[in-house]
Amino acid sequence: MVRMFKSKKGQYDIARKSIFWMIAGVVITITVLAFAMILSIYQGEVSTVPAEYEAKLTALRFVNTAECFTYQDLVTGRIESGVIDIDKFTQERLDDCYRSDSERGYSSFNFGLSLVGFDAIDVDSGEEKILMTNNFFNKVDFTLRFPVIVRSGSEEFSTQLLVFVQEGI
Amino acid sequence: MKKIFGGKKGVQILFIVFELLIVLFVIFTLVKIAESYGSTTGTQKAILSKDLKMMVDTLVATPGDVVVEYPGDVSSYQFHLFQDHILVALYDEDKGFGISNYFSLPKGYKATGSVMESEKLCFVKQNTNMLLSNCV
Repeated sequence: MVRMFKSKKGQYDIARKSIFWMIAGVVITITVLAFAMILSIYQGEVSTVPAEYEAKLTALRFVNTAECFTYQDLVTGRIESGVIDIDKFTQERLDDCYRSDSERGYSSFNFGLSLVGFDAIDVDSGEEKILMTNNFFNKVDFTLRFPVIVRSGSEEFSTQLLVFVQEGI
Repeated sequence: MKKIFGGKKGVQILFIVFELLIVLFVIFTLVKIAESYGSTTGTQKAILSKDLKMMVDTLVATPGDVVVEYPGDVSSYQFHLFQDHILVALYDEDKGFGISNYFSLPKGYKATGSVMESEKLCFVKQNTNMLLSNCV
């Protein structure tokens, strides 16, 4: 071994091997990390649920739950799914119905709601105001449409509830 | 032994052995990583957690009282329902290794309950109270 270190060819061989293993070490590390990442991404894809499906399940509460906007008969207590009580359609009610986490909420679903023909008008701009959840920043990824009946006093009107969905920022 | 490793050929043999060891180590590492991802428990926990989160949303949107049984044998897992998230972990695992999925309940709703080492899992909604429990 000492002879190898003394001869020029031996020194050249050792230097060559050292450089090779330095580069190979880096390449092997990158390969192993890339392999682990690919498997992790695949694992995530296997358990993915379409965003529209998940958002719709969450948004169903707006038209089916008395704690949100759904009309509830005060006498019988019966909840009428698909019927919106216009007196309940307020920002305060939406805040009580759905509130994303104040710290993490920007990464979860947030919603903007518009009841076609029944939105409040902004006094300054004259435009229709939509109701928004606490972390909704007007980034609309897709829109859900629910055909609903609006009850105002004893009158009923057929319209649509538009739910603008923000998936996450 | 001195003759084997003393000469140039001996050093080359040493290098070959070293390279073989490195290759074996890399193969072993890759197989171990694939094995850990290939085991179904990690993916299954993620799927269960997501499923139960969507179940909570569905129950919130369902008027009246509801009892729902989650299909399948879930005896290998433990489940914990909190006010803002559901946690799923293996039955013999620390909760810190579990997977959580967050949800938002309307004001006035309460969510609670734990299920461990039970084949069946049931969600019970009574008025504004949601309870995770063993199926009776």
